[in-house]
Amino acid sequence: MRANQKRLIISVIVLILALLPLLIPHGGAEGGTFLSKIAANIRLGLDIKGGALLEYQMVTQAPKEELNSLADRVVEVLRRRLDAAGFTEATVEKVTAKIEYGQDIPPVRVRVEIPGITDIEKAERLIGSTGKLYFADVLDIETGEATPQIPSDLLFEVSKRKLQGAEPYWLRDIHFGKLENGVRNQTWFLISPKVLVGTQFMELNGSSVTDAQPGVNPKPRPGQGKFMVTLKFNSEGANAFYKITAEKASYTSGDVKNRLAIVLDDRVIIAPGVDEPISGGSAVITGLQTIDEAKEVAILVGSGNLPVELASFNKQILSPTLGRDIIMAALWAGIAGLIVVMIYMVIFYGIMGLVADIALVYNSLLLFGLLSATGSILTLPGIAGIILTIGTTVDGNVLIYERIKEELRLGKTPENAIDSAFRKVFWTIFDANLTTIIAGLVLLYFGTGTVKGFAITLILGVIGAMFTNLVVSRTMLTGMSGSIKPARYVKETRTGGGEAR
Amino acid sequence: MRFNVDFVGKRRAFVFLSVLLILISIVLFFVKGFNLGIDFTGGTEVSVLVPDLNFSVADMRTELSAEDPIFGSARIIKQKPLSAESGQEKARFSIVVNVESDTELANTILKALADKGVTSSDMLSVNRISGFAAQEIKGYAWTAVIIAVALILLYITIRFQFSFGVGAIVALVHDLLITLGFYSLFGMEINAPVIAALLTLLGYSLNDTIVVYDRVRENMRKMGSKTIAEIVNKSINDVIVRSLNTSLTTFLAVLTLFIFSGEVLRPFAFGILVGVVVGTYSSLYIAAPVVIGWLERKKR
Repeated sequence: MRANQKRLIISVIVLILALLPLLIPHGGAEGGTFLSKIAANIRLGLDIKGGALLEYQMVTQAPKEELNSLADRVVEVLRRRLDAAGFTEATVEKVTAKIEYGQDIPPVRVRVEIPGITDIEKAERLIGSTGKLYFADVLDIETGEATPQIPSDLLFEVSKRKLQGAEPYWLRDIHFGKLENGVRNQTWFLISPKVLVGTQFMELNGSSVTDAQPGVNPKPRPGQGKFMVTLKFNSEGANAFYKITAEKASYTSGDVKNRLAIVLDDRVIIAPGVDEPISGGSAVITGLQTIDEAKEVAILVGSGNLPVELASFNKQILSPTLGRDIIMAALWAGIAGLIVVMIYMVIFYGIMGLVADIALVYNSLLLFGLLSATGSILTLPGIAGIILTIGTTVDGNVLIYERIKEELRLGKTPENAIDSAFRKVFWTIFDANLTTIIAGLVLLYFGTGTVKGFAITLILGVIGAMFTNLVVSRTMLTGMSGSIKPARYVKETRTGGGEAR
Repeated sequence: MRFNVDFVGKRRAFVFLSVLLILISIVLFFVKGFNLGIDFTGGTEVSVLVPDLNFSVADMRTELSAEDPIFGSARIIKQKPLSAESGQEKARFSIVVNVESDTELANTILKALADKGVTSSDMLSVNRISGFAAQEIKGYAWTAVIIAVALILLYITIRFQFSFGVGAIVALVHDLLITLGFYSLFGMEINAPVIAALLTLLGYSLNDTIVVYDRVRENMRKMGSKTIAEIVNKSINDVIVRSLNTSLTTFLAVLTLFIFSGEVLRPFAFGILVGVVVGTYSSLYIAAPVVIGWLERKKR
């Protein structure tokens, strides 16, 4: 009996330890009701609470050895951008393939997870843009739906610039396709990526920008957007910017050569005429239509440009609305499953079934406590894992009860029967559950995304089930051994139930 | 409840039944094939709300195909309606294109449905897997199954005997093939969580097998004078109540999951449902006879 007291104390202590991480708020948990406070202590996966998982591969010819450092730089830039844009809960990480299954599969990727996001488009623009800003010459401006032809009088100029490493190309206006004062913007710019100053080409790009701040333009031109971004250059950039603007100002306004284009990635933000040389190392990009747009441009320019172009590898987006629907369905499934199994056990095993039911609840609490304490992420397949744990817990109890019955049939007293049943059943439970844990560990290593959440709840659940069966159930069964009537089972043997051969 | 049935004597009939089921499954693999999800083929899966509750699958296909012909072969399912944040009930559609597309299909869908009052807030979920990602998921799935089976064989060999391990693996392969046969027969989608289901099924089936083997090992010590067939038969009778009870409770728990959990987890729950039945059967009627055959041959 003393051994049983020890087991009872251990059971109670473990239960309290499991409840603590659930009840004490941590990890910025917020919630109105008691239940939502508890729920806030468990980290939910994006497939439940909604959010976006975006995985990108790098479009690069760089040799394999350099991919890792390249990805590190991408991660750094993306983190700065997301922070600046206010996505503070977002995580950015480098992903390396564990095994390479094909030559063409990019072995190093970058994964961004943004919980609870609703404006996916904005996030994708922030991440996907390389953020390459540069100043450029404008050769021609046309309107039209499709890429315009290069006018014949410019063909010589274009081929000349091509030879000098500044090949012109057509780019769309940043507001291309949007309605402006009832007219659809269909502006195209023929851009040469370098600026001709005298007879020399000069380059000026985002790498010489030290700061970029969004703001309101105090004196917008009529018909122009009211927001702007102020750029600060380093001394080298300031010098180049002065020379460039001096050259531009020498042309009359109205001449296309008077214009200086500011290009971000593959869009022309603005291509204003330059009235006079600008010194002092600061430039403004005006003509932005919303403050959000100005902020976005400032973030893209200010956080530095990406060393490579990114292409989508995987993309999973779930709206919080659907997430709520899914979790409610899964919760009901779990509760219904629990109740059905509990009823079955009581019908089949009577009072011993009640012990199994308590064990079930105990193990569920233990599992949630472990999830909370380890900070594991609960995903939808993870909930399936919890429901499967019901099966594992019941299995252990059934194994034990069948053994106890057998021992009783041999004529042992209830207490002795329970003791020897547990001795015999220990290794059966251990072997049987360990194989499930092996499968779970393999899944944990190779599982992708949400499947990992399943492996976690399966492993934690099976370990919890073993403890619950071998310690908690035993405590209860030993405690109530007085109420087990051995005569019932002994009689059953004599009459020889079942289908006789 | 105690049983005393001659399971082992009828083992030829059971082996015949299993071989038949496996053959049917393999025929199904080749004739009917699998309904592979985008996890394995690459592609895009979009879930979207349409304000008009009477909007039909055919309407949807017409609207989408007009925008991009790739939707002609898309799998479009109308699901149970969902209340949007405003409280208004809207029709819900799942659109699956099992081909990798260069264009952003989610945007195409939004554009095609714009005149039906669908806005970006009606986009419930977008799941886009590139061909490379699908190739990798497939690779991981195979590797995971093979490594899990190898580790389990190793464990059983250490804890029991090699012959027991062989019996367990034969039962596992049997379970996998027949369960996959059911996936093919019912056209149930196979996605990444299904691989998790298959691995759990391996663990479960093995769990049953080990309980039987454990009893065989114990009875071999106790009734050394009896033939192996008799020992195995006694062992099966000893554990059958436990096996049935355990399987039934797991089956019930997963059945609620299958019914209530909605479309996302249904393929997963399906695998476990079938697997529990097949796994219980195989550990009693397949895993045990294999051991009999092996041990009897060794004795001779």
